[in-house]
Amino acid sequence: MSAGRPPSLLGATWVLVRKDLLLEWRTRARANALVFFALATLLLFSFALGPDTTILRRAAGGTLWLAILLASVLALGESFRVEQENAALDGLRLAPADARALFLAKSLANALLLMLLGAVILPVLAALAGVTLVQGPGPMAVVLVLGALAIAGPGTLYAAISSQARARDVLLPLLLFPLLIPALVAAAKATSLVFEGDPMLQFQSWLGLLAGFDLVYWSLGFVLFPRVLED
Amino acid sequence: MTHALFTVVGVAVVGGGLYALVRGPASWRAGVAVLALVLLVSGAWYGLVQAPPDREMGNVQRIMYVHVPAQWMALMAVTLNFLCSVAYLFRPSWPKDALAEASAEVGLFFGAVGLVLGSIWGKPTWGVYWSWDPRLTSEAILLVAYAGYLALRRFIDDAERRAVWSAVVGIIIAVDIPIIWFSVRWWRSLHQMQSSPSTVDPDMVRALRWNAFAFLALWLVFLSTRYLIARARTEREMAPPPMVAEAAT
Amino acid sequence: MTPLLAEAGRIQGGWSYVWTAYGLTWSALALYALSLWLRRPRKEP
Repeated sequence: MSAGRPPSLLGATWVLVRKDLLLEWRTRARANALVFFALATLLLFSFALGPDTTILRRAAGGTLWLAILLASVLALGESFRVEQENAALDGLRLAPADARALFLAKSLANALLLMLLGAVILPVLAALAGVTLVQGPGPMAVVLVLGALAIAGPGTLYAAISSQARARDVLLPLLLFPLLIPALVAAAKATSLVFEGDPMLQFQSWLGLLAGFDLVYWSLGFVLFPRVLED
Repeated sequence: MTHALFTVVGVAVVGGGLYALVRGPASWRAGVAVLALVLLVSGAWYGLVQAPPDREMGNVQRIMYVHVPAQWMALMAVTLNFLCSVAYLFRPSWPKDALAEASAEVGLFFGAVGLVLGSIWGKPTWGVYWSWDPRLTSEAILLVAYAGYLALRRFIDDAERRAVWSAVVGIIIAVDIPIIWFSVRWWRSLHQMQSSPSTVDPDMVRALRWNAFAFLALWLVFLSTRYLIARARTEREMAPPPMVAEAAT
Repeated sequence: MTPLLAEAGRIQGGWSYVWTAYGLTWSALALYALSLWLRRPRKEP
């Protein structure tokens, strides 16, 4: 980075992602708490649905994504709360970096966190519900990546808004959950198909829906995020 | 061609009517409210007495005369909310923000009425109140989304931030509408096929039309009144506190 | 088709649903109008 010239969009994004990941690494206790929260959710679902393994197996895809979604609300809220401490967000706003880079960086960091979370709780779910990756780990990884991006993109935008409102803990899920229903449906269905096999070849369609959702909301967030941060 | 002309004229009349009701004296709004009441009573007469029972659905089909107009009004309000949100981000102004707030609430109201009527209609037709029909399911999701939008508006005290952020959220929700629709339709499907008016008894068309105009008149009154409430609130927020105002005079 | 057969496929009765639907609509409209009236902007004294 040469002095005096504002960094490029991608350059700024890279710096900010590294900052967020470093922050995440230095406060590992928080990420750990997130994992245990998601695991507790999985356990709760198992108890709520009863010990009947056929039911647990059929609900496994939805269970995985609900656990990730519920944990994501905590992660997203936290990712902006840390910026509010010591008015770090104002500092970022003053830096000669594009606000859009901040959106890309925050969303990417949140998405990586959620992917990691999904990868960690997946084996536990497999054990609890008695499912196996019939389609193999490749498709599962694709679903996990696309699903995490779907939650993190609009989630970051909404977290930026709700973190500065009253009653933010209620507001974020209230805004985010209805918006994410298409992504939840697609991710849960695709995951079920990975667990149970895909005789009707529907996997591609659900993946397409998820990818379309990602594309639409990442572009929309990219365009609208500067307006959220202005003033 | 006639369709396009009809749409343009309709939008102009509705837009002009809304403008007149917002700018004009309160007596105009009261007048349109009385007109709406008359239309509603005659619409009920046409719908409940005059129109023949449907060949398959019998008398239950009469719910359609209020269910469909309510859905149309909700759709119009949501469209208006989207247009106001986009327009606000391009060129901020308080009237656009107030109209966005009013249209979200009125849309939520008509949508909730339409949803409840749809599920009452579903009971004798499908045997259950809630059959996860794609349209009603999508609508239920959207109603929750707009409830979130209105909650957001209540939870932000700064008027300018509220306007910008709710415009952003309004756009995001509107963009979600087609995505929700496709995902829910893939997820599950069964809905009453729309019948085109040409195959329908003229008495049925008349019952639907009168109710639709009654709902439109109510829509205009509700929207203009809610708009004025929103404007009054922003003005109160923007006004200097009483002590400053006193010192200035 | 005989009248009897025409009647066979039709949903019978159902007036209770119709009255519930219309009654609900009208009371919802009235309640919303009332809520708008209660929230009406008043001139500060």
